Amino acid sequence: MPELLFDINLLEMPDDYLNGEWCVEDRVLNRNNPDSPLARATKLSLQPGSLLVQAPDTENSGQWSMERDSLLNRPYLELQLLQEETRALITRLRRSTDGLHSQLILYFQSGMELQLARPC
Amino acid sequence: MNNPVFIEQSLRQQAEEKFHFLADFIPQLVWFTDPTGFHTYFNQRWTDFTGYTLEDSVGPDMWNNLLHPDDRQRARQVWGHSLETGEFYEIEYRFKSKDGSYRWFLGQAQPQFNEDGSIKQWYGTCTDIQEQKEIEFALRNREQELERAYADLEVKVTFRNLELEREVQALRQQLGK
Repeated sequence: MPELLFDINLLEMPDDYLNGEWCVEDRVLNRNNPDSPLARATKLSLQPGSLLVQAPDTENSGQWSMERDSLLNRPYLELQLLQEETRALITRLRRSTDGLHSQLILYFQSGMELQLARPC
Repeated sequence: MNNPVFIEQSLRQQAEEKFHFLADFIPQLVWFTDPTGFHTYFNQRWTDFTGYTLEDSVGPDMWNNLLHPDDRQRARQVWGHSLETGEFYEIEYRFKSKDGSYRWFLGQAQPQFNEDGSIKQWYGTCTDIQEQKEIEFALRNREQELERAYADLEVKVTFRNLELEREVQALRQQLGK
């Protein structure tokens, strides 16, 4: 039976809810940049301040931070990789009551959308 | 054969047979209680669904086992109010079938009054509304999904607009140099 996940209030979400290794479960690509590291990612590892993006044949490391804008009622991520610098809006974060299972949906400024899940 | 007592008994028996036929034929669970709420009758469908007979209804065990835990307090309150006031009883609640699964029912009861206005007895039915409830829950979920999708769309548009604003600002700064 799939784990029951609950929507997290993104306005009050602690940063450490994002820490850990996320697998890309689904993606909606943007036609302009389908070959970017993030578009091809299969895993994202978010540790405090550091980011590792894994694709089938490559790895990219960088930095990330969670930011908030008064005009947006949801936080967004600043992602800095060597080849790519972008922002991604957190549209949804769901967690199981024990916190062991999570689902994260990111909407990038390019229009790309990634659905991440953990554990992988 | 023309004995009035025999005729009366025969008519009463026919009436009872008709009543039982009707009460067991209709798709509802049927129950009667005395003015205090003490059960005096269940139709066959009740026993077939719940597994409880009239004898089992004495004491709290049947109701505690039958009603969904989340519905017990509300059911007690609504039924208590009707018993106290004589107002029409109506409630949606979940009953556990004898196979252990719960189904939603619409419970309704109407009192029959004595000539002096006191309650003679209550006539109640429970109508299975499981399918309607499932449709209702599915529609509610769909409505919430649509609301979420609309909220997502709004915030995505704002996010993209802010990005465009930033790009325009950056270009302006470059041009200004």
